[in-house]
Amino acid sequence: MTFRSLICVLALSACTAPDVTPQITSAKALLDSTVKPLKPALEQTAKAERRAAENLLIADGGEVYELVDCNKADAFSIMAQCRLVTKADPTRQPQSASATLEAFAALDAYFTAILGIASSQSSDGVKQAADQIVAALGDASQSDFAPIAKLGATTSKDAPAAAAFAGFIASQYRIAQLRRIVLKADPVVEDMLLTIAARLDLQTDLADRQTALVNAEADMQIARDARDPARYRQALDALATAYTAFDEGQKTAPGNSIRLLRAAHAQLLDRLNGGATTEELLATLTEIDALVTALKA
Amino acid sequence: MTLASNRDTALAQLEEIEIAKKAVSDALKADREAARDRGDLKTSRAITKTLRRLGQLHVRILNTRRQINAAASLSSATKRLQRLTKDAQEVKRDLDRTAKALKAFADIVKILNKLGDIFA
Repeated sequence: MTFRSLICVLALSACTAPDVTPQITSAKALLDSTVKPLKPALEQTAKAERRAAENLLIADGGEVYELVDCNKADAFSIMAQCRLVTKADPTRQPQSASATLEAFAALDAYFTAILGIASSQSSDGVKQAADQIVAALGDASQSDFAPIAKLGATTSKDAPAAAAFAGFIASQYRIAQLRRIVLKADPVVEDMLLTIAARLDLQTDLADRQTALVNAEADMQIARDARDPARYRQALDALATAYTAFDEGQKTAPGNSIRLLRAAHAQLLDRLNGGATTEELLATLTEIDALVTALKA
Repeated sequence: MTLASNRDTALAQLEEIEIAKKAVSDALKADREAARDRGDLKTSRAITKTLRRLGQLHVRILNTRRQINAAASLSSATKRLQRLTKDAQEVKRDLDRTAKALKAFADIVKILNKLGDIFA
């Protein structure tokens, strides 16, 4: 096996940089569409929770609000930093809407941050800048001014390889960091989404609809045993109606889209851990080819 | 035992109950069909009533599972995710800084070239 093919095999097994931007974008869109209809009610409940938490402090004669960073002389600092901080923490209450809202905000920030890495043009920027350095050093070697020419001559020999390597390394660093963060976040995201989905499902009448379905099924069996066609027909219709109601409840339950979001994050991790497309594999091969050529030069 | 492991134990126990319940339900359904085949509709009806109770139990198990999951603390998981988000933002800044530093170096080399032309 030649040095070149060895590098290709090693790189393909470990260094492929999958484009996960579509996965993160759709997960973020799913989160937005889930949160949007829930937000008004959650905010209203959160407001009541905050007030209740403040009332607890008031009852104990405790400090509720504190003005922070408002004593600065500079007018601009006052505007930028002065804030009213509450000592009440409604997120401590079990199953609080405030904690759910905070979790949604954290998830949104997380998806925005990883999207920033996935769609970052920085590795391309590193390569472009490195190419510019190579070009500039090439120009320097042609300079009539001896010290500059010497600088160019000394550095320009290895510069193409270094430039290619810089771009490659930046791209690999980007994807390796993304993989590390998403891998660490996965159990945390799962935990959060499972909790939120359960809380949201409990606020629906899904359990009642399912009980009605179970009862309708039993009624249908009893009607069947009664050998009364009219009663059997009626029971079948009632079962179909109960099923439609349950199915509709399941499909529209907010916990459902939360579960889809969980699946989307798991898919993102799968994509980062392997599963590169043919285009990505070819792009990596081309990248490695350029790198090897530059190293040989 | 931590809260999380308590939750996991409770969920595992519910899972066991659910598996046992399903085995009983399947056996009862087979018995009901057998009763029907021999024309014993009284037994069939009695089994149906038991199955209805089991079905209702199933719904209660699902709801209990939701309640267990819903009782988990969101705050600590939220804080952990916020820390990872900061980490991700730092990675992005690192990448941007590297690109900017190299760009600045490229500009310096260009300026040196121009200076060289002037002094030549």
